[in-house]
Amino acid sequence: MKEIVAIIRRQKLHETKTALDGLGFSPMSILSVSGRGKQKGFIGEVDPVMDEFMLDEADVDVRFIPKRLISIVADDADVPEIVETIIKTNNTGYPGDGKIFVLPITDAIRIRTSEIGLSAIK
Amino acid sequence: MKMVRAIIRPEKEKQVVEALDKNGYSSMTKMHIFGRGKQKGIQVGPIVYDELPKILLMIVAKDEDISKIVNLIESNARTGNIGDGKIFISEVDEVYTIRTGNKEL
Repeated sequence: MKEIVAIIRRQKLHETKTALDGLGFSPMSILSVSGRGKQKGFIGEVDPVMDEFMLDEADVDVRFIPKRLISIVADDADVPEIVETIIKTNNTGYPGDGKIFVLPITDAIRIRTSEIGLSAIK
Repeated sequence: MKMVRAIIRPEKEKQVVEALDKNGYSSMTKMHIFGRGKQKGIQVGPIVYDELPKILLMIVAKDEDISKIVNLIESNARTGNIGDGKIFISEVDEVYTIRTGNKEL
C-alpha cells in the first residue's frame, strides 16, 4: 500500500478529481495548504484571487502560495496510473505545477467495519 | 528521499522558514493545524485549551540533508517551554515534479 501526496494548483483541483473519478480512484483527502518551491514563492505565478493575508505576506521575504494537497491511499499496482493521471491533468509547463510524493503505508483500517489491509481501502 | 514533518509554534514559523531559506532549503508546504501533546493542552486559570493552534511544515529532501534540516528546525523553534512541538521523519519512495514529469525534486 502506498500513500500518494500531491500538491497541486487550486484551480486544477476539480479537473484532477474528475480525472481520477473516471479511473475509479474517487476516495481522497483534500487539504488547503500553502507552499513554496525552488522559486521561493514566485508571486507572478499566483492566481489572482489572493486574500488579504496572502497579500500582506507577499511584501515579506517569506512568501507562501495557496495550494491544494490531495492524499490518496492506494494499492501498489495502482500507483503508476494515479501518478500519471495527476501529472497529465496538472501539467501546465510553468513553475508551480506542484510535486507528487509516494510514501509507504504499512496498514489501513476501515473504522466502520474494522476491516484491515487492502479491503479497507477498496 | 525522506519527508520531514515538523509541528511548531505559529509564532516561530517565520524564524524557522527564514533559517531554512538562508541555508538553501526554500521548498516546503505549510498547514495550519490544531493539536495537543502529553500535557493534554494547556490550562489557564479555570479554562482548559484542549486543542492548540500549531503550524505543520512539510519538507521533502535528500537523505543527506535531513539532519541539517532537523537541526535548523530544532534550534530555531525551541523556546524551552512545553509545546515547542515535534519533528517526524518518514520515508518517501518516489518524488515527481509535475511540470516536467521527472522523478526528481
